[in-house]
Amino acid sequence: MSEAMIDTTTAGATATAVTIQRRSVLRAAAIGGIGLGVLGAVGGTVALAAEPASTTTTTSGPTKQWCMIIDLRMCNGCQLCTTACQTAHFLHEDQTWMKVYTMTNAAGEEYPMPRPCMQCEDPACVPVCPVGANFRTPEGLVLVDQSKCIGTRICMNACPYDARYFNWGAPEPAPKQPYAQSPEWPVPQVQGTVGKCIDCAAMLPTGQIPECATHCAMGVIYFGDLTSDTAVNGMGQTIKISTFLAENNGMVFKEEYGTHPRVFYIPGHGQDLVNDNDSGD
Amino acid sequence: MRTPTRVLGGLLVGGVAVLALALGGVAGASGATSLQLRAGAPVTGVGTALTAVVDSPAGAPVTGAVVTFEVHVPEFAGSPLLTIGRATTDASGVAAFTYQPTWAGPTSFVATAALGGSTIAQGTLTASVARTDPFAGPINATRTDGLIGRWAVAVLLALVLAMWITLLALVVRVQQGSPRTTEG
Amino acid sequence: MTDVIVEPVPSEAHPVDHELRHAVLRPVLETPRWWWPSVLVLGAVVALGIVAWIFQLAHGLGSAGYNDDAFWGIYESNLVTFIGVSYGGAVVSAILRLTHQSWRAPLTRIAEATALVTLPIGMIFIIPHLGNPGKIWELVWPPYWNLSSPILWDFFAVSTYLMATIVFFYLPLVPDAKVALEQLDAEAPSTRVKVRQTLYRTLVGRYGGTPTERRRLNGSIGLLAIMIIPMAVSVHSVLSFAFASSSRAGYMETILPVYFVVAALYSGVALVVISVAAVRKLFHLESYIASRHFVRLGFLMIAFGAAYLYLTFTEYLIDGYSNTAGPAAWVHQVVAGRYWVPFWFYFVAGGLVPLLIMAIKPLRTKTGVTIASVFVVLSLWVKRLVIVIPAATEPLVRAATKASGGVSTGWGTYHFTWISISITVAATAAIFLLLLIVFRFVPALSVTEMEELAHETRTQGGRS
Repeated sequence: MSEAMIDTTTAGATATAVTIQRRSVLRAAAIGGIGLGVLGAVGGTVALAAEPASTTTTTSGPTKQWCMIIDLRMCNGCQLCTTACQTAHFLHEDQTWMKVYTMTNAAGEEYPMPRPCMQCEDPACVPVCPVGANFRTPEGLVLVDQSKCIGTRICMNACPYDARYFNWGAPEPAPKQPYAQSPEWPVPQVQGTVGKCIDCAAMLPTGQIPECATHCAMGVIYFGDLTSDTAVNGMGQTIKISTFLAENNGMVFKEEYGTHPRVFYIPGHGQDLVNDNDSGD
Repeated sequence: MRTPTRVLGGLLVGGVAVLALALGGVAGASGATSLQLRAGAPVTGVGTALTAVVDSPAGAPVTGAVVTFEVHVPEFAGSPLLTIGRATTDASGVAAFTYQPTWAGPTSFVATAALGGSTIAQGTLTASVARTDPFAGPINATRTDGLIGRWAVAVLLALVLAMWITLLALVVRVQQGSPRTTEG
Repeated sequence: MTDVIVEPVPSEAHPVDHELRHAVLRPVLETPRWWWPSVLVLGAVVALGIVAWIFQLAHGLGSAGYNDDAFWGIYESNLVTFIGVSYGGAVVSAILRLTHQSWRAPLTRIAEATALVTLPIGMIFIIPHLGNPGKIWELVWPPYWNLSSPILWDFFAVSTYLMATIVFFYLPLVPDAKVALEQLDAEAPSTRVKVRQTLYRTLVGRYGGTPTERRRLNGSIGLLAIMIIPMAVSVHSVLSFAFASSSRAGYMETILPVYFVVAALYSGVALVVISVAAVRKLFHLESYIASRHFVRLGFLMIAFGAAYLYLTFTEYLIDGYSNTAGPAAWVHQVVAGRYWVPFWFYFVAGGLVPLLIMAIKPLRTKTGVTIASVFVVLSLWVKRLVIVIPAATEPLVRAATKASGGVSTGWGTYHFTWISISITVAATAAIFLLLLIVFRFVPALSVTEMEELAHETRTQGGRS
């Protein structure tokens, strides 16, 4: 490449000082070549060493695989789930980790749809973080380490569900919490970092289900474990997940994005949940 | 005052009598029908056979009773009950159901027999079960995983570092000058 | 290893242009009357920006107009814009160098210096952009690196490009620093210029100007000119990946990297025109920078401008033509919805007006090209806002409407606040402030190159 470009020098040039000499370009290029050779090994080592840190919080026995089932047939849009979530995690009013959207089906009818974090198996938010502040636990929860987060907000850009919320100002103050401040219980929030629904991760080991599910008066939100194939809602109704999803036409939101959500919806209002918001290319 | 004491005493005696009668009635009723829950040997990939034998007080099999099988879910607080299946008792009073859970280990069952909509008998059992339909497990994908991603990253990093070295080398090369002997 | 050159190379390959040397060194030796007032005013504006940033640190990013429905906005646009305008250095200097355009000679130093000051200012926008700038060190500390993140590679690409820009500014400066040192010793042997003499001595190092060293220098510059072009392309491509790695209409576009690179080249050449016009006037270099320089830069600029207009057209046409709700709604919002004012401002001021100015001969003058360039830089900043903000305010969860392309509800709003505006204005002022400072210390024209090329033109009958 360099030869083709440099050799356009006119043949009859007498003042050679200004002309870029092929020889010296090549010699200079050789320095780059040596650099490349030496550093290939270094770069490779760095890349191979920089494997994502594996999280090791597995308990004995079968690992839980948390999931959520939202029965849209029952939801009346009262937003008790949103309030319960914000109360438990001391969030601002506009930090709707559990948000109830008003959706429209193909017939033009409106229906409410709660949207927590989808806890995707292949989350879009995790790989884009430059400092690895997002991670996925062995139990299938996608969490944010707010002590690492530098606040680029690229995860908010990546999430196809608009499920991430930033702390644009001082967070809501919180009293002493029953759990240590951690990605499993990020209370209080940290200014300048991203927060999101955590499925109330710190409460799960004691058998409690998330606050939204507990407080839902309609029993819409089931919280469950895919390993034992069981889920329970706030009214104590227990379901076998596989059967329940199969019999009630369970589906995931924006399946076409390939994120493999761990939140399943039971439709009941003629909705197809394929949000045709996908980009053209 | 004696009268209130007497009244209270009378109420107490009467209450105990009523309670005894009630208990006796319940005991008599439960004695009337029995449900025996048994589990077969767990077979991995197939399931665990559950049988509920429903007998009348006289020991005769109850036919046509609907037995609901439930399991305690210890994952959640209070171990809520999950209905896993239903079966109707046959001529010998036996209702059979094969439980196919996604886990293995000790499990607490509850079986309830109902006839004509009203519960007639209940039995519990804790038995070991075998996994039939194992959960596939989590996909822990990060996008630099895999050979291509790993090498692409290595090559790109090497490229970036080579650029830095080249740039610095160029500066040094020019800055250094050369011995004056080459001067023409 | 000896270099066997067929022609004997004289130790001084070109005659010395004393008039040129004197003219170029005058701004370095004498403080112009306007200099201190300008520096103070610009410095005050920069200080205002720093105050605004401190205020933002205390109150959070919300004070800069961000919210959950508009998570990116002005700082991200500024980052792209300021790094974009630094491309002028790479284009004007590297491309014109590689294609042996001898008319470039009086422009290269200004172009390289503009790149040198705009690129760090663009990079600085990472700091107000971050919610938690105290942890920015995680970007340079390998244990924290997530190598699958486009932002990390942005950081790698931009810092490498910065390094290349510094070297690309430095290398052609070496012989000029030598010239300046000799000139200073001859013209002003006082102690007033001691700082500059020390600076030039450091820059020159052991470079002596022998033919071997000249060849070595020119070879290094040639290699760098080749290297810096793919580097520049990579920087804006990787910047665009930060946007494109999402499922948002307007961001998730395969055209985005090309789009970003072309926009950067377009605005980069425009800023070079503005810098050249300013330096030429302020430092009285009228006799060295002529109208033809402006017109040629104008043509270069407008070639990129036409390409950018074309890319905009194809992007919007295809997204709008598709019947998918996301892209169609996005195009609708940009072209006819809530963002129509900035978009059409770009189209007229950044697309049509420069084209017309360059197309109509009477308008194709120094002033005309400079005005066109001001329009281009301003409207390309607005265009970056139009790229960043609509897609960031786009609702991803919403009712699937029957009729696509309609204005849907739920779009967020980015608010401009005094904080974000102050920081932006301060950064703009910082460009001019730094340029003023740079050109008080280094010659604004590349003396050696001009002398060489003038000599070459004379001996070869001219290629310019």
